[in-house]
Amino acid sequence: MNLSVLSSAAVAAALGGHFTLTLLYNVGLKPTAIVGRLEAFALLPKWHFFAPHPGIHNLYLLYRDVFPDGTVGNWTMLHGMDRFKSPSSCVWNPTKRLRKTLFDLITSLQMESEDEGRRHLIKLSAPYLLLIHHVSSIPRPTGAIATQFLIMQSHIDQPAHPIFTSELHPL
Amino acid sequence: MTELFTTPDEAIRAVLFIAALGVSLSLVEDMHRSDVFAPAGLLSWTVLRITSQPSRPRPLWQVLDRVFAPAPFAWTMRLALTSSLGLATALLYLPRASTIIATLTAAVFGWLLLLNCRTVFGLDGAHHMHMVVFGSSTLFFLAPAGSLASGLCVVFIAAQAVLAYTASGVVKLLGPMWRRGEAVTAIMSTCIYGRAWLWRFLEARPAAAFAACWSVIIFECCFLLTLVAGPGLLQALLVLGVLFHGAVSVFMGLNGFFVIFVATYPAVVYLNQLITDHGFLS
Repeated sequence: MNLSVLSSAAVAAALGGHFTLTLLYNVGLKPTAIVGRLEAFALLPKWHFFAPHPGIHNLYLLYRDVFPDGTVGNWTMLHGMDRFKSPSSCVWNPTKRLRKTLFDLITSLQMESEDEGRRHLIKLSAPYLLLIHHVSSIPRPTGAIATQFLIMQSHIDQPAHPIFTSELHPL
Repeated sequence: MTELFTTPDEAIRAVLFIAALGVSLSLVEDMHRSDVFAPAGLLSWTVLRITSQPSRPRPLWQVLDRVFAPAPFAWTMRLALTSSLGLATALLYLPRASTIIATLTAAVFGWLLLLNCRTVFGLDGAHHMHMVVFGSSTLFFLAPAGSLASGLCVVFIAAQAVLAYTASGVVKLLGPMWRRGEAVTAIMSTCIYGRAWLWRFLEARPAAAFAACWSVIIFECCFLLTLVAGPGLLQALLVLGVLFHGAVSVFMGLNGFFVIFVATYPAVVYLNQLITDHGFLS
């Protein structure tokens, strides 16, 4: 068997296998060991794009600090999540990674908090740890001793309401 | 169009040229907001190294721990940008320098893989299509020139593109908000993917909103026809695809999707010709 036949067979097996798994994954295949492994490295694309249920809410990340005398600061919104994109975002959109990351973290946190079996582990989850670490690392006036974050949700032209509040974490 | 992209080599080079420009744009945007990857950023490795450790093999994790330190990671971004810009340049001016093109393609794929190893958060469909394109292009250059394997790499890119549109269209068809013609209006109401003026326009015109939803569903489902369409229909579907992604880019800010999905079209043309010209249908 020559090199061309061997390489063709190997490439056909690899690409055919990946395509089949992608197809099954997109029709709702239950995670198996191999799918789980590929999922952990984001190697299986989900081609659903805003379907079947598109995200229709605005999500906001806010935080507030606690001071030594017990006073609590005002909630402060992060990353301008209440603002629409600039018109130039069709060609230059450097905030899209930040916005998509925030969206992914918040929706993952929401799913974890709604999962009865995992709710008690939420403070160990990646989204919670990433958000509290980020919030704790924001430059702030000296004196704050603890911080907490809040996730709020709204629909356009409607008041926002809280959907998740973290515990207070020492700074 | 029927005379274009008749060989895997022609098709893959056209795909890679457009995709390299797309990756370059994405990298420049990421470098502009590199605070996302900083130790205090939302994708801080300080946290991700703890939360992702159990799912990574130990030797790989040790390498990642070094690479994702702030300074080395910044260098990987610069290296990836140099590679993607170099790739686009080489494809234009050094088309016979296959070794250089192959090396630069593999370097860009390496960067994309590295990002996958760091996190699953913040990765969008454009990133996944970049993975498909650069992964199969790397395999293309590893395979013997003119072999069946090289043709399969181009077919894979086209098949993933067709699957992406078709799966997305079918899943939208299953979504009540899409069927009722409310989904586009709802998406336009969000700050992350919408435009307030377009939301107001569609909110006041339910017929236009309904038409917008069903245009997307019908176009995405019909993209499957690119496999078997004659030249006229194929051209029409691809022009519609460019207009669709142009609209998505303007209204939703998803500029990366425009470049990478349009980049797959030469592969789609190649697969169409493979099916229609070689009598697979007869």
